Amino acid sequence: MDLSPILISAKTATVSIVFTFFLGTGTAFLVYRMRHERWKILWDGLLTLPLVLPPTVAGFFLLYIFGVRRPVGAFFLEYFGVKIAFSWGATVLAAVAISFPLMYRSARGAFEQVDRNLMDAGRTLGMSEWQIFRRVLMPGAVQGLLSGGILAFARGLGEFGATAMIAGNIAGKTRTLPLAVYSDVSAGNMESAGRYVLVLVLISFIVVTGMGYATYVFQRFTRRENR
Amino acid sequence: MLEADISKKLKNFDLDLRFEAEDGCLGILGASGCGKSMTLKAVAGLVRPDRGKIRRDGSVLFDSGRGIDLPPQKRQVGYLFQDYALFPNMTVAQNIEAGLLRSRQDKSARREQVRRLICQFRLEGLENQYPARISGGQQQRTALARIFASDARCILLDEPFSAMDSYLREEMQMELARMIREFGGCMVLVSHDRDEIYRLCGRTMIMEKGRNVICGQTQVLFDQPRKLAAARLTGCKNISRIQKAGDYQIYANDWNVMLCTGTKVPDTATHVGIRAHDILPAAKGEDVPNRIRVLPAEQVTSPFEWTLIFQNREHPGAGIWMKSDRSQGQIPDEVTIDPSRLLLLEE
Repeated sequence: MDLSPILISAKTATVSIVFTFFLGTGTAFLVYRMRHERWKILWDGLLTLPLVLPPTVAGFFLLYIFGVRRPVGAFFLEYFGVKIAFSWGATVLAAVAISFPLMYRSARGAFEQVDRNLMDAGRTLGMSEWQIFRRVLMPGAVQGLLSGGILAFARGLGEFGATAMIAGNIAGKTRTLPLAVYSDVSAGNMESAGRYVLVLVLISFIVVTGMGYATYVFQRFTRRENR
Repeated sequence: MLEADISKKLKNFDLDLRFEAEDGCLGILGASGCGKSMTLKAVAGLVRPDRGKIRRDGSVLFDSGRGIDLPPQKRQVGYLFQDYALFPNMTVAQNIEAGLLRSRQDKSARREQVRRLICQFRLEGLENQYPARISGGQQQRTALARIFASDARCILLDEPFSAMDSYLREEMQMELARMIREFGGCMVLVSHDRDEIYRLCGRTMIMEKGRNVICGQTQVLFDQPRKLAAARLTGCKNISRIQKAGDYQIYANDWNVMLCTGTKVPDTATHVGIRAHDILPAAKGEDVPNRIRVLPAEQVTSPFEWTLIFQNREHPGAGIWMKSDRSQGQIPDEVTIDPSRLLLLEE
């Protein structure tokens, strides 16, 4: 069995979750802090789009922006000598673009459900906004952030459509596990495809049950009994 | 000393009031949703009034005219939330320490102060407990210790006992009364419970729909509410519209009775109020003023009190509530009201 898809997928999923986690959490925090409800709704809609549109549409947009002849892609090629499309980096780009809304939405929900009175209490006690963020908001949201991160990781691992469009299906370079399954099935190589499927199912199962367990542990830790 | 003169447009009504709180405790008594909590939040800097001024001990916290709006962090105004708003991820000691973060002391000085507050608020042994694991009373003490730690010059209490059962409530009221005496600055307690206000506050402001109806010494206010809303909120059960019939005589329209008053009836009086406990049974033949013949409608017995609702037998009108000690739980034929006990009220 060719192990390269497993390694590429592991690398892509690991690197992309780091980007997704911080981008998603940061964006969610900015939207959370907006004062006007209408702007919040508008941004919410825009940032959720990649989740509801077919991945091919996201791939189309990515190509449109990062393609070699497109402004951003051309800029990177010219000044940094980096070709984004159809490189390994493109698999990360696709995974981040597709898993971002999951992270964003989980983080936004996690921030929203932190009791605002707690933050107001912090303010009247003289805590700075940074102290409130670090000691009140983040601990209150950590469970939601964690489960969002795990969901986004699993989604990034399973990314197929957008990856195929912007990164292609180059064996040993951009062929991730889902693409390897597709390629093997197309070539009638069901046995090899089955092994990749098994690996994917295993990893995803471990990750998702891990999330369930983490939630259970956190709830035991912070359960409010007297309320 | 706290002075506020604020107005803010709200959804159902406009908040528009002015009050002063001297050292000691000012009670704000009002029905639910009359803007009490909003007033406190404006003072603490958690919501911004549209217009007005707020000053604490002479320093300006908010002045819309001069564009001053201090953030809550700089106001030194403590706020006790209805549910205490303890940080669930911090222990009791860490919660108290959170109030000391502003002071920029080093860690050992902070530890020492936390220890002192833990003693002062009788929280020994609970230092490392999380708020979810301690009782309501202990939670409240932790929240107060945290406010004391933050060096607040003025403390706002937002319905501090609403989350407690009645047994715990009385105990905590005693404790809070002691704390109010110890605390040098001014306190404002917001409540819809008149007993709470009566027990704890030297001065009381009555609030209705975002406005200051009347403000004064608590005892005086409960004895002579003067305003219709004040009578209602201080627990006056019987209120009727009136017509002036003479200098010392009024006709109560809702009950269809003529009543003699102890004081001269002012032209501005529009209603009369009678506290349910001021209605007494009248013995036959006894020469007492304001006799009403009783047409009983309903009676209720509670552990230590007996309540009768009756109408005027001659011309039945709205029900009149009479309350007394349970030992006298017998429906009288006639009742009497001392003229000096009639509350003449303005709208």
